[in-house]
Amino acid sequence: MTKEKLINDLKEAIIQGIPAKAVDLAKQIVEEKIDPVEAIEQGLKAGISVVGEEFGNGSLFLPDLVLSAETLKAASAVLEAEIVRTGVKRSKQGKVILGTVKGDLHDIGKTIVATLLTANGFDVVDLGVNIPTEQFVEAVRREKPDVIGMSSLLTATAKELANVITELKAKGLRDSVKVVVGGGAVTQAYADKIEADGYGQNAGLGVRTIKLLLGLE
Amino acid sequence: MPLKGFKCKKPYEILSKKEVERIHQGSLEVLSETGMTVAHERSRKILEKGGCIVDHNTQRVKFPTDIVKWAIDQCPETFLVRARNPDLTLDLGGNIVYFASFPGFTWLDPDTEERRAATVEECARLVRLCDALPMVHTLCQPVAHLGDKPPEIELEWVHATELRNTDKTIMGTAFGGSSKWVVEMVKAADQQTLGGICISSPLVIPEDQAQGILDYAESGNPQMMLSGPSKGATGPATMAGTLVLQNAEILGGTVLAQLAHPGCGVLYTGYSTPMDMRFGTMASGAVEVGIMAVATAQLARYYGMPSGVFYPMTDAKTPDPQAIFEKHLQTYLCATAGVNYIMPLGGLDNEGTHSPTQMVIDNEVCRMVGKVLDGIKVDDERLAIDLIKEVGPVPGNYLRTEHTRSHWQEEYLLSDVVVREDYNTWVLGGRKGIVERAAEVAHHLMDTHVPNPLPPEADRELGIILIAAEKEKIGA
Repeated sequence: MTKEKLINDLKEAIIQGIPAKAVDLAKQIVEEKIDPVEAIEQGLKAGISVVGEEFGNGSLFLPDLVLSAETLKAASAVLEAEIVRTGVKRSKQGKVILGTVKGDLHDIGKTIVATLLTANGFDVVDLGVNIPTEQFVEAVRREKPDVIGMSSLLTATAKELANVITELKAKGLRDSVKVVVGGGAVTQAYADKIEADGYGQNAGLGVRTIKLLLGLE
Repeated sequence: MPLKGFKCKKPYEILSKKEVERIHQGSLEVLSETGMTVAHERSRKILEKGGCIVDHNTQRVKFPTDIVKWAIDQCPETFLVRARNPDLTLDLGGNIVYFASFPGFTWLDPDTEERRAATVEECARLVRLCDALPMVHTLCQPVAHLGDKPPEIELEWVHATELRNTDKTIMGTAFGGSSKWVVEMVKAADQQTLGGICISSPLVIPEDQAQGILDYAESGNPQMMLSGPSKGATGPATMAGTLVLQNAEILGGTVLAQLAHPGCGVLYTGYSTPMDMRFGTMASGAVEVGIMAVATAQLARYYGMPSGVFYPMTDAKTPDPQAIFEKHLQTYLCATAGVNYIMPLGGLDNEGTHSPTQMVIDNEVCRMVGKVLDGIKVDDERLAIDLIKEVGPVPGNYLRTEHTRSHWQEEYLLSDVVVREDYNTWVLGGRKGIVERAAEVAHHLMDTHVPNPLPPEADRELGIILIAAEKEKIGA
């Protein structure tokens, strides 16, 4: 199979959201010694950006979006490993760490934000749900992200957002990163009160906030 | 294959079998002892020849019970209303539920919020909206009057405009001798119509309606036999008494139809409303109207006839919360009672006006009520037991499963007009509610929807029929 065909099939597998197919194609790409960075840019990112656009205009829906994100994640793992192995360098638009705060198991909204960010060219590190303060702080130190995005769906866990910000200040990391908060328990007023840099009422607006904060829009 | 519609698997009932029989006996007694006035000589002769007792001086016709029973036996349990597009043919009867558009004397222009007589072109736009909306399985004419045609021939023009702008089936009329021309027009368009016959309560078959019964029966078109006594005014104040009268009137009309053409399709149809004793208005949005629908469906089933209702209606003057709750409650009652032919779409203010905005909202209500009738599909794939075990507790979830992607669309309705987005998105979108959104959708469909065109030779023939009707009715 030609390089163009393989990369295009990978893009299609992302759009259709079929993880097994995408992983097979990614492995073939590695075997054929095709540049993994090119496969990520022209295959994975091109595919997920089509998905993001179609979700935005209402022709695809959440299950499509999330399955495409899963597919992207699976295929990325194969290609990223090859990048690490060969030591190729790649350019990045911005890096975002995401997580739902301690005591809160809500996953879906954050997953949607992660997918839309990836579709917009960001590198996303999704820490998961029920993430304690220390883990957020440690991730900021380790990953050196441009943005940390935190989600809280319960009023009882909203205070955890403030705890993370306080702890980032205490560790001297607060100025190294933009903090964006969102989720059902959070309002713009609350975001202002805890001195977050930005607030996203929903996934689409969260992505826009991040772009504005980084001067990308 | 006829149009699918919805299926009411377990009809809701409000009368016991014994109560249905008491109503039936009461109606037989009224028909044989008091009878009906039939203001049409040829019809009286047909009834007389068929065994009814006729006094031509008083125009009174008494219906012996054995003749009524014979007529009921002639009625088919199901019948088709053939459309020129076979996929849009109606199969009336059994457990099938169809939705139809509802007429107004005027129409409510969403741009100006003005209520006015429609022109032929505006009528065409309203018909195209009916054609575009999927829940309009069949049409009753959107407007009954036209502002730019002489009153004597406006119904003929309305029906021609319907046939020129939709290939769905349409309801005919008999008012003012229109049945003769409707029959010719649907023949030219190569389809059938469901002729609409209105009995005048109490107990009169007017001349034009009797002529309509004969015209539709003799031309091989099925008909809707409509009776709508207004409780406390043209019928007894009690629901049971009104049912006795409504039933007698429908059966009386049915006897004439079956004598004219044994075996013709008759839709057993009610439209009884209570009178509001403060204003003297017909309370068409009243909950009692929905209750009567349930009883009407039960009586029709008792006779083995398909059922219809000339509602849901509302007394609200604009597409507002009252319009939506009154029509929704009645639509739900009609559909779950298994009425075969229900008319929820577009009507406002009793029959006062027809609203495109309301049509689009009613289309959503019908989709949702239809979804209720569809029920819950239970099989291995949909029980999803293996999936539940696989996903397990949180943080597992179902959004990222192929099962969700393959099934959510068949299980849940989305809507372009119902507000479901979050608050901020709603604010950014201009704070539009369902009425504004429905008006936009209505506008868009009326501007852009292109119906399946009537063949040019049929269109020419309609023109010739219209000229003949004008000549006969107003000598033009």
